[in-house]
Amino acid sequence: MRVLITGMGGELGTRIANILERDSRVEAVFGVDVDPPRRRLHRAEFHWIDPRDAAGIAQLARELQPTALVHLGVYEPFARSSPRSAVERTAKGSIAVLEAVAAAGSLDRIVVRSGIEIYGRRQGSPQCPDEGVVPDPTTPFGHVLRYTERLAQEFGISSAVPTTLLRFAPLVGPHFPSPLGRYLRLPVVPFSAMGDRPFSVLHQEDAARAIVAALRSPYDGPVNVVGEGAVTVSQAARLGGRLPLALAGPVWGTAHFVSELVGAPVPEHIHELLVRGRTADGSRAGERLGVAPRYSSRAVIESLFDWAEVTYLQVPDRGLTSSDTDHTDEVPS
Amino acid sequence: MTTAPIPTDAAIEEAKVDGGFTAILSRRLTGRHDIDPWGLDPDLRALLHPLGVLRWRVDVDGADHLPSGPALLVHNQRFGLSERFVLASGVSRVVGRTTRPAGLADRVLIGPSLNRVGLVSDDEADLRALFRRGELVSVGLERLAANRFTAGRCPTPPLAAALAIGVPVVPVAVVGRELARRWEIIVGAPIPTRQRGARPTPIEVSISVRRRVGQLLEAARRGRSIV
Repeated sequence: MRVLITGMGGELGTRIANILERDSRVEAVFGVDVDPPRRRLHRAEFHWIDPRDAAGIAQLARELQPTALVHLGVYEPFARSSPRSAVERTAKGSIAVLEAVAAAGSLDRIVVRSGIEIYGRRQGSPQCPDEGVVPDPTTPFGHVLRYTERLAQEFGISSAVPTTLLRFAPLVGPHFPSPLGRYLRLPVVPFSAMGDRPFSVLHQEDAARAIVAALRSPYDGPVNVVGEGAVTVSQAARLGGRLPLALAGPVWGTAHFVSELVGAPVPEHIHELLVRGRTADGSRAGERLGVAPRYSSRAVIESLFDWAEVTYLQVPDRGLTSSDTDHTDEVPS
Repeated sequence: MTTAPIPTDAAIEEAKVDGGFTAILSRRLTGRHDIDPWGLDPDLRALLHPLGVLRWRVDVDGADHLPSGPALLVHNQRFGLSERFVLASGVSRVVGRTTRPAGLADRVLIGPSLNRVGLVSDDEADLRALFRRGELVSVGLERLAANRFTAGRCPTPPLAAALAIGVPVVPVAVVGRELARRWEIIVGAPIPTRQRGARPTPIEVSISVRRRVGQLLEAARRGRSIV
């Protein structure tokens, strides 16, 4: 298997590259992204190509002849890019990579990172939709996910290759760039006074395991991957020792303005989660992929606040002068 | 008749607050309490359970018909105020299981508040997901205020969800008066939804369950058990 990973520079893309490069059955791992990988790669190759650069991606696909595509190039607004840039990168990047691998003609499976935001949270919509529910997105990110899924499905049908659409619950973690994670780490966390609805999240490690499982045993269709259980916004705030603050109506606008000022902008799909909740039925991930999430939603939220302490390493004495090593004396042991 | 005016051991265990009031308070302050994806808060439900026991004295007949796995309980309604809570209280007392009354409207404040004690919408997708988790879901027949011994029509979306997953549909008669304390629940034999050959349609099951609830109500009116 020769795997092409889009969005390899993200936390998830780098983790999958690390897993696949340890698998002897995987002949080669290649990745593209606008950001460099977040960890050291040993066997995988990273190509610094903007996802919007269709010519660059096409040339790479011709040279590498991938047999599997892991499309993680779905950019969440305010995670690593602005909302406008996220839409552009996702839309143009999806077209570019799918056309490129179609032209290469070597592909036999596709795995796409999608999200449960695709179901939307319209009034009267199911609280816990399963894969049988027709997507009805209500936010720009949800629409982008539906667009990406449709592109991938059309390509999969025309090329007769299985297309696994992994609809993840919001991914959060201590080192995972996400607007929800930043919001919940604010010292004061506003929640809806009109109904503190539950939401589910997913650990990045569970997301990585699901992607690798889908690569090994392709399933043609959508699969919800959701951490067991749910939490509410006020509960998440208390789990992190933050102060929950009940808000309603127009006060949300002010709260989001302040939140953006302090570095935690709130895109529309996160606002929807805060006031309407967001869960999905992920009970069929086990039977369809062979793996089920190990971390519950509450455990994922707890891990969000679990910052590892910084451990300072002692610099060994290599015969430097005292003036060169003076700064090490200030380092606590 | 298998009456259960006194809570069973299972119900007492179920209703017992895990660790006492102090533990509940501690869990809520630290955020370590449980919430399910539909918003059910088991701590809150356990706290409210004694109020249900005080408010209603429920006799349950035919509790052995309640499946150990997922099931759709279809019951009659007169005014539709107490029946769902009486049924949930009665089932909890005899088998120690939570019943999720379906049919909650998605309204601001009211919806999320009632979600906390177990009510859910009657959306087909939500019910499918609940059945996959092995839950007991109850749904009321059409309200017929004029006669408390008459069964109304059965909504088909919950039946479609039960048929899709293949869970049994259980007819239940709930008889009592809103202003009185004593209620009676009669649980009928489950209507199988997975049989050899053709699977029944929601309309067929709807007619069948309405007829069965009607028979149970008629038996209750005559004061005879047919369970």
